[in-house]
Amino acid sequence: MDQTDDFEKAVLFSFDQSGAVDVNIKAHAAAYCEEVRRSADCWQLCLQRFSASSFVEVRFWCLQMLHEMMRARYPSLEPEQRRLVKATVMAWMRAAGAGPGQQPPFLRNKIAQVLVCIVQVEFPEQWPTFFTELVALLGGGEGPVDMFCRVLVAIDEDVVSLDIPRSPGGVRASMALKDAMREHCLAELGAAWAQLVATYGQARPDLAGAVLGAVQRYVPWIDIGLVANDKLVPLLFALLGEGPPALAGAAADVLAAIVAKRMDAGAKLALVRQLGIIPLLAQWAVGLPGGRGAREDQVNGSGDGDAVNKGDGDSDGGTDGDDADELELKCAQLLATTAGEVLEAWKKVENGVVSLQAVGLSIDAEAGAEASAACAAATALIAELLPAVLAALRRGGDPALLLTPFLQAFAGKLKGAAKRTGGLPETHVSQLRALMEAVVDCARFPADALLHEANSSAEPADSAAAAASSEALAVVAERRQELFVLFRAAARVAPGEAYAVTGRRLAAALATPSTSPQEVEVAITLLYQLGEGAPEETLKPGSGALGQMAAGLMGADVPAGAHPLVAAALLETVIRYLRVLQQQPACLPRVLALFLGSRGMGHPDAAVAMRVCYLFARLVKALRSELRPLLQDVLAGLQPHLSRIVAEPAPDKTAPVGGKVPPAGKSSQGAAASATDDRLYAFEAAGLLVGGDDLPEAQQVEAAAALLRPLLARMEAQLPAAAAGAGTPGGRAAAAAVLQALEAVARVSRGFSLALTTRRPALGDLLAAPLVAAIRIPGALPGNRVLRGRVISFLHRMVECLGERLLGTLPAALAALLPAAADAGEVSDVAALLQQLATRFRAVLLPLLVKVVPEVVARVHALLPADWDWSGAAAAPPSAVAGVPPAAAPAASEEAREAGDMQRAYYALLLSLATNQLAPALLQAPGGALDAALEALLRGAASHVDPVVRRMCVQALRRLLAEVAAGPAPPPGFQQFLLERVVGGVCVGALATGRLDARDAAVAALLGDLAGLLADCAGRCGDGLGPYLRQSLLPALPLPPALQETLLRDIEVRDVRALKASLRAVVLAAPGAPPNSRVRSSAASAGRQARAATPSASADSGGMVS
Amino acid sequence: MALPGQNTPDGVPSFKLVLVGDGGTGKTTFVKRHLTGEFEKKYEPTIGVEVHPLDFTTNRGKLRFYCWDTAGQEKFGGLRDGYYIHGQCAIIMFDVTSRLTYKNVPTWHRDLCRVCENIPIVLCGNKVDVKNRQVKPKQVTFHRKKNLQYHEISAKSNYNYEKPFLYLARKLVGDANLHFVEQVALAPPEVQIDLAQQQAYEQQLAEAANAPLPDEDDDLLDG
Repeated sequence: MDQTDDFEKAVLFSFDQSGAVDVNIKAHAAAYCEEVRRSADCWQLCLQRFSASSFVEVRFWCLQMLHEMMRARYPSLEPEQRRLVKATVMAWMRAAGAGPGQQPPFLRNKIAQVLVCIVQVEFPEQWPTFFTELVALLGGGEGPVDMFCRVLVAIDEDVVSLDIPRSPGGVRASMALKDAMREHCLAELGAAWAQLVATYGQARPDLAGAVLGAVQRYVPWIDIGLVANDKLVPLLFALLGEGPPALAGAAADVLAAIVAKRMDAGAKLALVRQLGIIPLLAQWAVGLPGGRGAREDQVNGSGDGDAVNKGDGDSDGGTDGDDADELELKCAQLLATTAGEVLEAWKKVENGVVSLQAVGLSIDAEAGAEASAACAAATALIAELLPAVLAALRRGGDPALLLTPFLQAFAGKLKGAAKRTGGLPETHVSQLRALMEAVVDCARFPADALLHEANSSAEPADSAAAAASSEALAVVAERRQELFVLFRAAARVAPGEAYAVTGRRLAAALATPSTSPQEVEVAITLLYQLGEGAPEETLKPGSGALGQMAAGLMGADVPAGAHPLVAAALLETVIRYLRVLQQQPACLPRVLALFLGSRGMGHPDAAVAMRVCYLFARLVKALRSELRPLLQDVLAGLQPHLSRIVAEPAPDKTAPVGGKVPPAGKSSQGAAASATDDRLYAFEAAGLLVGGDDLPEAQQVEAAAALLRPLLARMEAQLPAAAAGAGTPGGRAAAAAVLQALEAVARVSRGFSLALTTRRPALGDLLAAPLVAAIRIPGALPGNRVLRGRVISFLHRMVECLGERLLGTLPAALAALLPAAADAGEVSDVAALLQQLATRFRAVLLPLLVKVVPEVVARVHALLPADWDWSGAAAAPPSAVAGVPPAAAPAASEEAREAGDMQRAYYALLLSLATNQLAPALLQAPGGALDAALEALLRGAASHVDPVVRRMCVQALRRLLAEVAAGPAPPPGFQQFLLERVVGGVCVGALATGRLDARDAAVAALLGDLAGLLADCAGRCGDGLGPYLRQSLLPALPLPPALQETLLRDIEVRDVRALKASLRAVVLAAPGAPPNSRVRSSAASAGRQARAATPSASADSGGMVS
Repeated sequence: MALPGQNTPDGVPSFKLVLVGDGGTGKTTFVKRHLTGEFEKKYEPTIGVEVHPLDFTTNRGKLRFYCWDTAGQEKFGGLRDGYYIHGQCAIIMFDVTSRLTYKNVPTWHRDLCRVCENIPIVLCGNKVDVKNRQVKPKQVTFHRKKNLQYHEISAKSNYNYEKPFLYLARKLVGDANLHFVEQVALAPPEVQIDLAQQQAYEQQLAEAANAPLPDEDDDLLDG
C-alpha cells in the first residue's frame, strides 16, 4: 500500500471486514470518507479519482458517491459542470467494456447507473441525441455493445420497471421516459437490436444474450412491430434451433415476451400466426431443446468445492449441464406461454359472443363469422401444440410443472364447452384421453434410487443419504399432487375416458406379478383419485365402474404389494372405497388380513405402519357393525401391534408415504418433537371395537380391561422413573412413555360414550383408575408442560366419557393443576378448563366453583403486575393495535403475551360463570373477589384493544350487574357506580377514545351489547341518569350538540336499536377514528355532524374511565 | 474466499454470502442462530455490516460461509452495496408479517445483482411461526420471475434453518445431491412452530407455484 495516498487508504480501511484493521483506525477512516462525502467538490474528486485509482473498492466508492451526488444535485450544477460530468462519464462508458480501460462488471453497471441518472434529467429536452449517440458507439466493438446493454437494463431497473416500488413521482417519471423514448428513439434501438444479435450471435453469444436480455425487458411497452418483425424473429428462431444453450434460452425468453404481449384476442391470434411459431413449437413433440430426455437430476462430477467461484470476472458461470437444463425450462415456458395465450384468446372471442347473446343482443353475420373463424383457428393451433405440450409433461420435473396451468385451463375450457353444448366432439375427447395418459406417465415415481426399500438402509451412516432421498421423494410427491388435480379435472369432463384409462392401467398392473412397484402404485392411485366424491352409481356393486375396479383390487393379489409405496397406496384406496366394502362384506376378511399383516400395521417401514394405524381407525369407525362377527379375530390380530407400539418409542413421523402425507418441515430441527404419534390410532380403533353397544357386558368389560390395564400399569410404573430422572435422557424416555400411555388411554376412551359408561358402570370404573393416575402427573413432573397440557385434554375427554362421575375427582385435579408457583400460562389453562366445565355442568358445579373461583381470581390479580395495562396493548402483536405502525411498536415480550392470554382466559371464565347461572360463585365469594372481578371487567370493557374481548367484558358485566341488582338490597353507592363507571366509563366515555373502527363487524356487535347495557342502566338509575348525563358526562366529551341530543333521547326511551346507532356515531366522531371509516359512513347525518365537530375535540377520555 | 483476519482451516472451501433485506426482517437473528449468539428478543439494528463464519459439514467435507450480515436500514447503511463486492451467493430476507418488506424485495434483488452477477440467491420469508402473517404463500411470486429459490423459515423456531444454506452449497459446489451430514449446532428453538399450519402453508405454496403470475405492466394494447 506504499503507493496509496490517504484518501485511498481511508476508503480501503472502511471496506475492510477482515478484522485486520484496528477499530480506531477504521473509525477514523470512515469519518474521513464521510468528510469527503460532505465536501462541496466531492463529485469532482470522484471524477478524478475514479480514473486515477488502481483499487476497485476506491473506484466503486467514487461511483457510489457520484451516483448519490448526481441524484441529488445534478439539476443544480452549472452548465459547464454538467458538461464535464457528462463528458467524463461518457468517456468511461466508451472504455469500460473492453480494452485497456476495461472495468469489472460491477463497476460497469455502476457507470451505467450514473449515466442513467443524468439521462433521466436531460432526455429528451437537453440531450435529445443521447440514444443516437449511444447507438453510434455500437460500431466501436464489443466493449460499447456490452455497455449499451447495461445502460438499457439500468434504464429499465432505475426508471421504467414498476416491479420496483416507486413513489408517485417515480411512476410519473417512468411514464414520461417511456413516452419520450417511444417518440424519439425506439425505432433506432429496434434496428440496433436485430443488427447486434445478427453480428454477435456466432462470435460472442454472451453479448448477443445480453442484448436479448435487455430486449425482453422492453417488449411489454414498445410497439410490437419493433420486435415481431422479419429481421429479429428469424434470428430468434435460428438461435432457438442452433444457438448455444444460454443464447437459445434468451431467444426463447424474448419470444415468450412477444407472445405474452397484451392485446386484443383477434390481434393476438394474428400475431401468433404471423410469427410462425406454432409449427416450430409443434416439432418439440419429440422433446424440448436442451432436453436430455426423462432422467434424474444428474450429479455433476466436480468434487472440488472451489470449482465454482463466480460473482466476479466475466465467466458466464455454471456448467453446460446447467445451461441445458435452463434452456429446457425456458422452452417449456415458451410453449406454456404460447399455448396459454392461444387458449386465452379463444376464450375471449367465445365469451364475447356468448355474453352478447346472453343479454339478447344479436350479432351481425360478419362479426359472427369472424368469431367462429377465430375460434376454429385457435382450436386448430392448440391441436397442433398439444402433442408437444404432452411430451413436455411426460418429460416430468420442472418443465412439466410449467405446463400444468395451461392444461388445467384447457380442461376447464372443455368443461365449459361440454356444459354449453351438451357434449364434446370426438377430437376433444381424444385430446383429453391423451392428456390423462400423459399425466399418468408423468405421475409415476421415477425408477431410481428413490425407491430403495426404506428398511434396507438401517445403517446409521446411510441415514443422511436416506434423508436426502426422502427429500427428493417429497419433491416428487408434491408435484404429483398437481398432476392428480389435473387428472381429476380432465376426469370430470370425460369420466368415461378416465375410468377406461384407469381400468387399463390397473388391469395391466395386476396382470403379471413382475409389474414394477411404480406401475402398480400409479394405477392404484388413479383409482384412489377418482374415488374422491365419486357419484353413487359408479360405486354400485356389479354395475358401477369404480365399484367394480375397487372390489377387484381388494380381491387381487397385488404385485409388489410389500413395497412401501404400493402398500400405502393400496390401503389408502381401500379406505376411500369403504362404501364398496360396506356393500360387499365378503371382501372384508381379506382386507382385514392386509391391515393387520406385514403389509399393513406390521409393515417394516415405520411411516407406512403408522399411516395404516390411522387408516385402520377409519375402517373400524365406518364398519363397526360389519366387523362385529369378526370381532374376536380382529382384536386378536390387533393385540400384537398394540403391544409393539407401547414397547417402541414414537418414530420420527416425517417420511412421506406414497405422496399422501404432505411433506413439510421434514428435515427441520425442532419440528419433529411436536408431531403426535399417529400409531396411537390403533388404540382408538381398539376402543371403537370394544365399545360397541351390543357386546355382552362381561365380555366387553373383560376386553376393555385387557386394553386399559397394561396402559395404567405402564403409567404408574414410569411416572416415578420420570420424576426421579427429570432432566436426564432416562427420565425423558420415561416421561415420553407416560405421555404415550396416557394418550393411548384417551384414544381407547373414544369408543366409550357417556351413555355406555352410565349403563355399565364397570366400564366407567376402568377409566376412573387411569384418571386418578393422570391427576398425579402434574405434581410429579411440575416442569413438564407437554404432559400437563395432555392431562388437561384428558380431563376434557373424561368429561365426555364419565360425565358427572368426574366431579368427584375435580378438586384433586384442580389442586394438582394449580400449584402454588403456577405461572400465567398455567393459570390460563385452569381458567379455560373451568370455563368449559361450567358450560357443561352448570349449576351442579356451583359447590366446587364457590371454592375455586375466588382462588383463581386471586391468582390472576396476583400474577398481573401492579401497573398492568388492562387494554392489552402491551400484550398484542404490533399489527393488532390500531393506529400504531408495526415498525414503531416494540414486539410484546413473551411474559406480557402470556399475561395477556391469561387476561383473556380470565374474562372468558367470568363470562361463562355469568351466563351459566353460576354468578353466585362470585357473588358469595369472600374477600373482595367480586370487586376485583368487576374492576377487571370494567377496565377491559372500557379500554381493551380487541373489540371481541371488550364485548366479552360487556356481556359479563351486564349479567353480573343484573344479578347484583336483583339481590335483596343493592349495595350502597350502587347507582353512583352504575352512572360513573358503567354509563360514563364503559358505555359512552370509552367509545370516544378513537381506538375503535366502526367498520369492524366485531365493533358493531360490541355496540349492540353496549346499547343493551346502557338501557339496563337507564332502567336502574331512573331519575338520576338525566342530570348526570347533562351536567357531568356529556359536557366533558367532544361530541357535537346534535349527537348529544340524540343520545339523551335514545337513553330516555331506552330504545336499544336507536342507542346502538347513536353509539356508533360516537365512535365515528372520536378524534382518532380511522379516517376511512369516517368518510365511508358520512351518509349518516350524525356522522356528518360529528365530522364537522372533530377538529377541535381533544378531551382525554381516559379520565372518564377511572 | 478467506479473509485475511479470519483463518479458514486449510482445505475448507469458503464462500462470501451476502445477507440483505429490510431492517427488522430478522437477518441478524438468523445468523446468530448458528452456533454463536442466542436469539435476542430485543431489536438492535445492525450497523453497517457484521461478518460471521458459518460452518457446515457435508458429505463432501466441511465448507464455510462468510455471512455478511448487512444493515437493512438506510440510516445505518455504511458502504451499502459496496459490501456486496465479491459476493458469491446471497440470501434476501423478508418478514411474512410485514407486506412492505416483501414489496421491497425487488429493490434488494436489483441492487444485489448489479454488483454480483449470476450468483445463486435464496429468497427467505422469515417469521412463519407468527400466527398473524400478512404475506401468504400464494402472494410470494417474485422468486419465480427471477428464478430464485424460495424458503419459508422461522429463525425463532429453527424451522427450515439449513435449507437456504443447503441450496447455496449445492449450487456453489455444483453437486445437486450434496447434503449436510451433521446436525448444525443451533440455539434451541424459542417457539414450536405449528406444524399443521405450516403444512397448510406449504400446500398453498405448492398450489401457488402453478398459479399464473400477476400482470405487471400497465400499458395496454401496444400491438
